[in-house]
Amino acid sequence: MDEVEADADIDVSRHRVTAILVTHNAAAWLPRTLQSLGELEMSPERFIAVDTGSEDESLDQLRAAGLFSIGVVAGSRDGFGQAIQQGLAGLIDAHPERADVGANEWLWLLHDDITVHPHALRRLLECAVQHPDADVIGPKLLQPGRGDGPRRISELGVTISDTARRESHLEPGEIDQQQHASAETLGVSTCGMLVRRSVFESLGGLAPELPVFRDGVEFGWRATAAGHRVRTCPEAVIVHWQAGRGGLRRSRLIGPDPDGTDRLLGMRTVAAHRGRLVSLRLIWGSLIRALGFLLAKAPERSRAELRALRRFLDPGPTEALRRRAASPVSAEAASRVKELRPPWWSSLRVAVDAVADAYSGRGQRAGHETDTSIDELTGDEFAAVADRRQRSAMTNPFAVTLLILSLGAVLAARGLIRPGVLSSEVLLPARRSLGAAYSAYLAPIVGAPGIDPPPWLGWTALGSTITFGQQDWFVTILLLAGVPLTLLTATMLLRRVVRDPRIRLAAAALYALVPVLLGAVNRALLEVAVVALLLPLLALAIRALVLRRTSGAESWRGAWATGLLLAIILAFAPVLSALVVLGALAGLVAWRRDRARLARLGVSLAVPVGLLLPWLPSLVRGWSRLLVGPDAGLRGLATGDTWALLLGRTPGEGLPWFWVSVAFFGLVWVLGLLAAVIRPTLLGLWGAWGTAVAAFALAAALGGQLATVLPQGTRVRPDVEILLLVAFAGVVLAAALGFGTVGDALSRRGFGLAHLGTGLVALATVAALLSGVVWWVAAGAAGPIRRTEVDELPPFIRNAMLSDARTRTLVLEFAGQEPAAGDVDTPRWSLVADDQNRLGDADRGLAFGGSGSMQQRTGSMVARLVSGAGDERVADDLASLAVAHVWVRGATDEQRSRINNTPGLGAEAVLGDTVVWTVAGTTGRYEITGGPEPVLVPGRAFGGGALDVSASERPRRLTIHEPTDRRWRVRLNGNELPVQTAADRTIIDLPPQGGRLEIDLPAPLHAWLALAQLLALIVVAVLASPSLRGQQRRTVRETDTDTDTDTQVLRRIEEDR
Amino acid sequence: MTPPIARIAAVAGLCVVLAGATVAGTALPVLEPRPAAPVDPDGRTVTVCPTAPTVNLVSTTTWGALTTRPIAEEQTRPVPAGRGLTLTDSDQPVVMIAEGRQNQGAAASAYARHGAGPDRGLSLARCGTPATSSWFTGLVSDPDATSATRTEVLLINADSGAAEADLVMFGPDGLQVAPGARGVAVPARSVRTVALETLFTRPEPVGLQVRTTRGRVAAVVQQRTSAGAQPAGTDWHVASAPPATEQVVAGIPQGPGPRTLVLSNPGKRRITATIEVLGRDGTFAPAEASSLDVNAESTASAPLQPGLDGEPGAVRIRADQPFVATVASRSSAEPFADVAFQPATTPLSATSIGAVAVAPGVRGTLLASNPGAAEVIVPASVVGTDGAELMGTELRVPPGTTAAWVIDGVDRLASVRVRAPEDGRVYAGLVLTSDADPAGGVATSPLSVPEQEQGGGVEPVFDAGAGR
Repeated sequence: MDEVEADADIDVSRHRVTAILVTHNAAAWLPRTLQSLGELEMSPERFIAVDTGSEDESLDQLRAAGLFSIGVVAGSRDGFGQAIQQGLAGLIDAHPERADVGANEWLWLLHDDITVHPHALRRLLECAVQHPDADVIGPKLLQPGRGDGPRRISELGVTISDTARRESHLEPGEIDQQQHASAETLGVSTCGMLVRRSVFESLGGLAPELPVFRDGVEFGWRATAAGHRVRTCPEAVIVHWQAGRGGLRRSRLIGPDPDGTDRLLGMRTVAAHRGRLVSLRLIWGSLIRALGFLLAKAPERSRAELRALRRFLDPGPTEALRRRAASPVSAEAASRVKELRPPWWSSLRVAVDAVADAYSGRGQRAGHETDTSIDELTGDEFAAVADRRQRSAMTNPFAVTLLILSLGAVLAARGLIRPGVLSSEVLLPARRSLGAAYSAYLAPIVGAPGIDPPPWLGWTALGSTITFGQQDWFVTILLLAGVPLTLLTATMLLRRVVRDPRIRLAAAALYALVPVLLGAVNRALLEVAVVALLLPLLALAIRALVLRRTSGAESWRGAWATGLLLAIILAFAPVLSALVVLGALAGLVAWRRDRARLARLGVSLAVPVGLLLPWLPSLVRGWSRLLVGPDAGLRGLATGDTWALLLGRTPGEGLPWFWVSVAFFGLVWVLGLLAAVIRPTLLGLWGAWGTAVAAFALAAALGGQLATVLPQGTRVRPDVEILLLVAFAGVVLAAALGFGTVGDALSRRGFGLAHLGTGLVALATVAALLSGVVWWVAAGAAGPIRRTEVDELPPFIRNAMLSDARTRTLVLEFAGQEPAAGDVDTPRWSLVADDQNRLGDADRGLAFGGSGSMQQRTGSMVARLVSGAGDERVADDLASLAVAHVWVRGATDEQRSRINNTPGLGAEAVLGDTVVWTVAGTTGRYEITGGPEPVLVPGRAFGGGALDVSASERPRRLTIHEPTDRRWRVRLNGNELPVQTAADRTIIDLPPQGGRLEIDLPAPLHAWLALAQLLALIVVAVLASPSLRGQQRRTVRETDTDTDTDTQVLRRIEEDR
Repeated sequence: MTPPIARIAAVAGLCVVLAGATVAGTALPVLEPRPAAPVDPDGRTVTVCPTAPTVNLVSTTTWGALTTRPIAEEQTRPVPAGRGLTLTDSDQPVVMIAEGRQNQGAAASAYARHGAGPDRGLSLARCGTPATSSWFTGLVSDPDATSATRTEVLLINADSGAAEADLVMFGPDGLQVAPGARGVAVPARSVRTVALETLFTRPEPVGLQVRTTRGRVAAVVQQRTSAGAQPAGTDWHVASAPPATEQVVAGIPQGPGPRTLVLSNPGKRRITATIEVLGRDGTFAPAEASSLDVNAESTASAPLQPGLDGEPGAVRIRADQPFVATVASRSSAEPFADVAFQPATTPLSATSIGAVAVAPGVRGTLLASNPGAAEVIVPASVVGTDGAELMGTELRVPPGTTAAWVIDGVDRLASVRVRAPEDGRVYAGLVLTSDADPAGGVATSPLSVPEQEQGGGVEPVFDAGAGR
């Protein structure tokens, strides 16, 4: 089948070829290699054999073959490149006249584990004639297979990414259907490589630093950089048994771990050619990979990765290789190298594909999937693979859509791509450091002993860890890159459930735009972004839970994955727990007699409950927190019309133009309903519709209700946007399922009304999609979302808040102009502390913590301050809250004058349109009074402080200007002191002796629970991750004497699949 | 093959469920949170009264504590909550200390009536709060003229720390140069009197800003007039509303004497003010004074008596830049006529108090002006020093007019309480007149508007986004 008729007219007689075969411990497979070489239709001018210290009968077999005019015995530590060099030296020794290299003189490098097709050499030479500029030509390497079955392509040109990943441009397990044409490539395998001897020698041959693997691509890289051309020649076919890579060859150079050696040599190659900065990236990537392998239940591979990394850290070989790798000779050569290497995002694509595969049946290597069958090869699934095979991204509809939406995301975010921190009315600016992000979750809320910080803060901190500790990057990616990312996850799901790629694409694009058109991006609703991203993965996991067989360890993975995803989703959007309960009830009914599935359902429900367990007591104290999302206290009290929810319109800013909502969401409903008409018996469709209807009904019911958000007891409206997201996601999925087979059905019928109707629906869909995209891009993320510098307060105030004193600041904002007669300029105020209000602070009670009275008291102070009554107590009251500064913006002269009347405030400092007063009597949050001057106890972020105090006979008193909390613990030299509480302060009479004074707000149980959560999370993540058992690391093992080599090779290859 | 009826039923079912959910959602009542309890401005404020023969302290609520003390003394004495206290013949300024709700429900006024002597005539002053900035206009320092006027600025520092004040004066042709007007030190708990004649002399009225650079003071001006060697009339002049682009001067007494509107423009640009009178029958532009140009940092005046024609009323002045306004009135055209000053004031809010509304031998009149477009009803009551209500009324004030309530039949010291209407703006002033004096005594005073409410009656709104 891989026979290609040769062009009889091509004359290859002017080319002289010297074939060099390198052998090492190859007795098991060498005879077949020698036999195929003997059967070559066109033989090279001369065969040279180089044996690198074989300890078996390889040498005898070579001698017996009678093919070789020159034989060289090299050392067992000589790599392939060195062996070739010694073969060449042998040639020159035997034929000194060959020291001069002729123009058309070629070297043909051969491994000992190959079956060469009889026409292979002729085809290679024909390729050389047809492409006279080619200097290095590689044949098509096939994997061995049983009988006459379809052969998979092993290699046809190769390149290498910056992460040292081998990039073969082939789909995994791609079948050879002679679908490839000769093309330029960065490198080819050394197996069967035909290289001009002049080029080979001018480049110094293969790099000895890469003795076994990656030498081909490294040589090609050098050749391309030197201005030479490397080509593939798919017409020339060699079956490569890959004895070394397969772990069948005993070799000191390969060692016991071929994968590790391959990885090491790959890293060396990239590091040598790409410089030291890339080396750092390689080290980082290697650590991440090691962690990934560990999580993927492949500890051996993790160890191997670390071993490779350890060896990579030895700079010697890399430096030697770097000296060998010269810079490109010309700009053209440099640009060709760049062109032939994978783009920077290729690793990302591979990672996404891997995740997709992992969560789909395809990744289930240890499951029940069988090998590729002929049916599959001719089926749609294979067609889909072939779709993705298209080399140019510009002709792949998915890639084009992804590109368009990515560009759209950049354009829409044009106003937000600048320094600063993302924020909106409901999104507080991200925390400055990763430590603060974790502390926001781990530190107890002062004044709220029964309430713990909500778990979304923990997830956000974990997410920020991935984004290099930058919480703002995490938030920005979620919100601004949400559309393309959601398209990716939606595609992962739709690839499993919808066969028609067009429907898949349309549905994924519709779904990806839903969060934008709900106004969630413009309002910066974090929960909608997170859930939109994860919902398709949850659907995938639930699908696996429902459909996967209930035998084998891997059959539990769906349950663990469902549980894990629910734990994330419910932390951000607890209102969805109502839908989860409904779904669980449906599962209970459906599987009442299927104990295995009930057990898995139990696991998937127990995981979120277990992971979120520390939060449950807080929910018991304020159950209506279930109805709202992150930083819920910032949500307002606005209500809207219930019918508007059908069009995705909720009260608030950031919504699209009305007609866009009508066109987009109207179309979604229509498509969903049409799908129900088309396939009314499809169970999945009704599952999706059921979810949608339940979510919508819940949204309609909750729109006018109230939720109480602790610890401040703020009253807000429930989170309706998230329910609408789920509703529209359900309808989109139902539509995709319903329309999924329309294409097939139409293709079997003659042109008629059905075609016309489908065309109209398609047209409407495109129009609605376009309207959504146009609004999204044209309006931009211009709603309440904005990027702020968080530097409105002058540096001296910010420093004071972060200093040991940890003072607070009273912030007041006036309208900034004289109110019209009869109107009043109502000032807005806030109390800020520490690093000002940051992400999660609303769920931590802002600057008031859990105090039930502090907000009211501060409000009273503000009222007295702005009244101009010159209230004599205001300054003292402000000092009792540790307010050191009053910052006012937009005040008129009269308003300023009113505040100025307050005794105890320092002189006003005018900074532009803002005025700052200093409260003279404020020392700090923790102060000791009784001495001649108040003494400040240096405070820490999130509460507590310590100071070495001296002995004093005078009665002294420590005052903690924080919300009262029974957990406050004050110790002097380790001895706990009795505390008294007053309104928002705690007072401790200090004994006369001196020593170490420590103030703490201990919450030991909370810390242990968080640790338990982390451990449980790791366990669940490992259990939910796809196992890499099927991709177990290959190790060299002793040849099984009972089994022949072919069988062993084939078994290894099948294991790889 | 699914029958078509099943397909239609599927879609119809979905539509019905969705419509049902929508209708049910619409039918559900929208819950609203209980309004937050009003913020309790529970603080401590002080009110300072100038030295006077009679100081009447009024308390309208029994909540909170109210005390008083002479300015230089430590010892305070309680003022009965809900009633008040009358202090007589205090030889130094008096401080009233209000705690809790009393700071919205207490007020004080200083009152004097002299038949002869340098303080001849009726005098009335609303006691004020210490401030870092106070505004006056219409001050005259012309001691040598036949019809002489002497003006003293009383800087009262009720706090326990020293204060320092600058006096900035706006003359008829720009800032009035006055060496010695800067850095006037006022020791703690004391009063410092600055006679303007020590700073400058000129017959035209000037504006004044008392601006502290340290601490705060309660500033009151006392202006004395004389005809030749004989004292004519005297009165206190309390701080005017701070500069604004619209000012209302209420409580201009009726009578034949001159009425002079004085405007001070502290800004850097010349203003042209338009003037309207809110008279008994409606709003009109006064003859000869429908507009007044005031140069930058200057003071100008215009006669109102041709427009008012002896009627009581109020003036509303508008300009495009902030300014300060006062009307100076005299009881008659006689040289010995008494004087009274009506500074621009803020609208009434909550329960405003005139701590001295009527006195033995003196008739009181409440003048209420309504600059709005709708009629308002202003409930008012006269309360004796024992807290008993003596009489009451509901004063109808048609739009654009001034209504007068003459307090007849009470011949004792009493205060007036005026409830501000919720649906409109009302400005009010008190006029005391005495016919017993040969040239007629007159004194006026704005009402004490609760300071907490003076900020516009606003409740500051908590907003976590403030300052971002």
